[in-house]
Amino acid sequence: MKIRKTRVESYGKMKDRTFELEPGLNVFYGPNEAGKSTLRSFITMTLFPKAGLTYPTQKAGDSGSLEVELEDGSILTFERDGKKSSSTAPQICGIDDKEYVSIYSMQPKELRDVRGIEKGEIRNRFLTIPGGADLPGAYEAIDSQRTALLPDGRRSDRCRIAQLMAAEHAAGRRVKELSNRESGDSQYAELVRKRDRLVRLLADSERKVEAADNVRRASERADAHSGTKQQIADLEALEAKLAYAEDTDTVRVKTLTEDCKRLKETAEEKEGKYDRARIKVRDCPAEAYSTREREIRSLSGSIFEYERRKRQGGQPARTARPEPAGNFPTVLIVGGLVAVAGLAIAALVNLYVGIGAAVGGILVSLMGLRRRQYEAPAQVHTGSDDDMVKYFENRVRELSKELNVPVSDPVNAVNTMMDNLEALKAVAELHEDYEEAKEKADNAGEKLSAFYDGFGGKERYNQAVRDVAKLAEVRAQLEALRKTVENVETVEVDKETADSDYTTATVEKDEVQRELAAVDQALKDISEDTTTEEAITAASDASTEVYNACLDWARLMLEKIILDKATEKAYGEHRPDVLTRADSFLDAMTGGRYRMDTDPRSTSIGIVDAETGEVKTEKEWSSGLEDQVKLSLKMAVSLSLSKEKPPVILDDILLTSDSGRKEGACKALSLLSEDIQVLYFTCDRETRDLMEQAGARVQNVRIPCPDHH
Amino acid sequence: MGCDFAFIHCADLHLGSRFWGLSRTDPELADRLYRSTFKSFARIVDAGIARADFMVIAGDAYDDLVETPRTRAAFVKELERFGKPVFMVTGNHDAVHSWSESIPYPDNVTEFSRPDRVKITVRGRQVEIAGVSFDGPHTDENLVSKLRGTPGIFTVGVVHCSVDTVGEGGGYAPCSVRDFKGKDIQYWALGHIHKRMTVCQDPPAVYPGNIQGRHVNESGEKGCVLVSVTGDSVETEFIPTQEVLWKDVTADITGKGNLRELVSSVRNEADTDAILSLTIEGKGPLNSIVRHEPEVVADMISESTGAIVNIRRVITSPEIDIERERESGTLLSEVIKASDSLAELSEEEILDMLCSSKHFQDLRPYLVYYAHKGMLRDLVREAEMSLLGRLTEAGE
Repeated sequence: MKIRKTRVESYGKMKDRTFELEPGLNVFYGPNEAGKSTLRSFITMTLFPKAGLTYPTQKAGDSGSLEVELEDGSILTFERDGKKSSSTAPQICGIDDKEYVSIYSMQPKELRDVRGIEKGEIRNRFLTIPGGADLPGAYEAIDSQRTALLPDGRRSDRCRIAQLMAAEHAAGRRVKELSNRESGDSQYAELVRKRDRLVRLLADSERKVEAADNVRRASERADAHSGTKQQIADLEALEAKLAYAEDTDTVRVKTLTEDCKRLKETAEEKEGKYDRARIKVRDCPAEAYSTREREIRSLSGSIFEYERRKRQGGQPARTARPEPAGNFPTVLIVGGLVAVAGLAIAALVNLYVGIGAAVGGILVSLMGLRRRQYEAPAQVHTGSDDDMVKYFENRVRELSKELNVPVSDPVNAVNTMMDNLEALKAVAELHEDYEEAKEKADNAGEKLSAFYDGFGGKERYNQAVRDVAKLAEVRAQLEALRKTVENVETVEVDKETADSDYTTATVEKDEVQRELAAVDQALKDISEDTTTEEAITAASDASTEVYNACLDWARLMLEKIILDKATEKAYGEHRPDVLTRADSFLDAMTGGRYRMDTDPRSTSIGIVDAETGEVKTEKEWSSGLEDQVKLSLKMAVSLSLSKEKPPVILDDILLTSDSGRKEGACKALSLLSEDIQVLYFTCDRETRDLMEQAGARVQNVRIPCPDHH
Repeated sequence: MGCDFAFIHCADLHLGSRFWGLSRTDPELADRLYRSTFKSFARIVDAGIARADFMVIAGDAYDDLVETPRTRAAFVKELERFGKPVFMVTGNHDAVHSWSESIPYPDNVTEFSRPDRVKITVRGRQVEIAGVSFDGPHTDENLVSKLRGTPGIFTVGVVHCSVDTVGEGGGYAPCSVRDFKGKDIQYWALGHIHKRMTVCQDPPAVYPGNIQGRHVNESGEKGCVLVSVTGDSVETEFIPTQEVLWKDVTADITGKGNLRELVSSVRNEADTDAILSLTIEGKGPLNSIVRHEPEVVADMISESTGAIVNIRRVITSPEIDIERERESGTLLSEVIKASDSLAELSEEEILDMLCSSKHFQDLRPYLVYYAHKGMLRDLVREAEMSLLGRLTEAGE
């Protein structure tokens, strides 16, 4: 779309003016307030009525027209009538009124506002290839995620993978340390052995403690009963002292005393008998009787013979044969008979019984024979009767004299002698009895006396008898006391030693117990070993995190590699037209010093220093350079935004630029005007001249201005 | 037990396992999970007491080189309880024992170190067990090639190894399927790979998998294999013993307008006894939110069902027609094409590309882990979907 003719009948202060326009570069030159802005406003507001320009104020009396030629060659006239316009340019061009002001019809402030092309539709439509709309965002996300894991250049300790690797190494070291610490299977085995030893030792020391405890308790009990013990000891001493009295035997004493008394009486009685008998024979010479006893008895035995012979008066004496004493012949006969009977029995009945009987009979006969031989009578006297009487009488006399017996009659004398002899014998026997009784009595007396002597005499014995009661009393007391301490075993150590022994044993046991507990703990530490296992878990976790992070990094890296390849290919083959054109405009404008940064990954507009290759983003631009870059971009966009290419209207946008920049801009605008109609309004003579040199058609704008000062 | 003999084959007990990150977020669950490996092994012992004549354990009884006495004591107690012969080898996780003196294995346990063979008589039949252990956390030796059986005797080979067709290779006793053949070994009891699988049919070479799932990627039933031998015929039966089941659940965002709809679509699959291993897939407007905040979805499912939910993967894509977009001549088409070309690279090449800068070298050991698991190509697709989401869903 190109404006062929502008007819202003009334707009602002401009009245009744007509401008013919070239299809290319048109310059409207005039001083300030000459009406350039009014003309720009008229053209803009007539083409895009909602473009929103506020100068000059729209009025009901505004009128004029634009004659335009479309790309297809058709001619249209847009009429302005008051605030309205008949323009169909927005529809024809496919852009809205705001976009027109932003891209096509610009004063310096609009030039610098590039928001409209940096984002949204325009950017996606003109600064990227199809499908590349989200490319910068994708790159940004990939790179930020990836470099957070691991930067491309020098390793930072703060990046995630470096941190995770450090954690992994630390965890690995920890496991290694722990495994070194416990490399000792032998250490464990040694602990097990030590434990066994300590268990045995503990059992020993427990036994020792128990023993010491028993001693200690016994000693305590002993201590508690020490009073009793002393009492017992005292009583025991007393008991020992009285023990002698234990031998007192009242029954025995009584028996002995009675024996003594009885035997003494018996002895006295016998002494009386003896004395009385002795008195009777006190005139008999006992020794002589003893000497002559045989003779007296012989005489006494001869009394019968004497009397017979004396009666016969002197008959010769015959041998007196005394009657055999006993019945020896009977025995002899009975024995003989038995022997005969025995022989008969032996022959007739039974040999052995018979022989036995015969032998018995013979033995009996022999006994009879023997006795007869022993008792053979003695011849007392032989001779004549007279001799015998004389002899008898003489002997009686002699003896009577010797024995102090009156010899009135020999027979009487002999009988007296015999009586005396018997009496003497009786006295001797009584004497003997007496002596015997006396001895017994003496013995009894001695026994009693000896018994008393055991106690030191009778007095002492009587004391002992009194002491026995006391002893019994002591013993009863002892028994009672002993009962109270009967379970109190005797101890050989005192309480202090026992306590000390117990403490020592306990300390020893505690020591063993502590050692055992330590070994148990050590074993438990090893066998339950959660430290190592936790360390292994931590190492495993840490390792897992490194592996996962590496995998994440690898995926992001692959995304970047894929995207790099894709972008290189895509942007190599389908470089966006806008960028290409902006690049050539900037090249023209800066005399080749700067080119557009065409990296599709860039999220903001950048330029490249052609000499250094350094990329400069907006922050690094001078205001003049900023104008150049943004103008280049907007010029390029203006060519692409609408196929109908509405005219570009620029209102002194180079006013602040230096000469060099103005020249460059003029060249670029000249280039631009080859493809699109350009209307440039300026009050700057230099710009006007440069534009003219670049082939612009220059028209002066000078309108009468009532409020012009 | 209508067979000549039977034995339990288990591996990768990982007793005392840690559960990634849970100890911080949910200590109670972490504790339950800590006990789970022990409980699972106790069930294996129960099964063995009831049905087997002996047991073989093909490595990684413990989870960590730092074997703790608590773990060791618990293991020893179970071995004692089993009472029948146990034959063990060590793997990369339990190559070093720390408590063998003070907490010795019971007499019924035979632990192989260098290649060795032991003959036992089971129900009147002679059986041989051949085994070899790791001597450290890593070995490049082909341990499988070191084992031989005795001709004429049924031999069980016990080894912790990484078979090239399934394993991630390097450092874990690498071997090939052909190594199992011609060794006079009739059953290979393997360990190391946590997913249950039979890597060779003749002779059978079996990974029983680990005995307890420990994270979202170890989902499904876990336990041991009961091997029954009759004559020359070998039958295997899997016995699940896991204490905690990680159950795979998939939520599809396709056609869902909001998260509530997404949550209700999986509500019926929730199992409060299990931990849900949630994969979010599909294409639609929810892509952006589930990608950036999958925990929100997990929390909502958890709140609505009472189940514990862990995110396994998010493989959603924005609501665009990838095929059409590829030819659209826009930035998106270039993103799709660039991703396609990256996804054609090998894991190693992607790894090199990621770590090309000297500043990224120390990430390499970590990324190698993912490269070995073949996860980097998947990561390219994840990056692609994430990018497409960023470029099309900004501000949504």
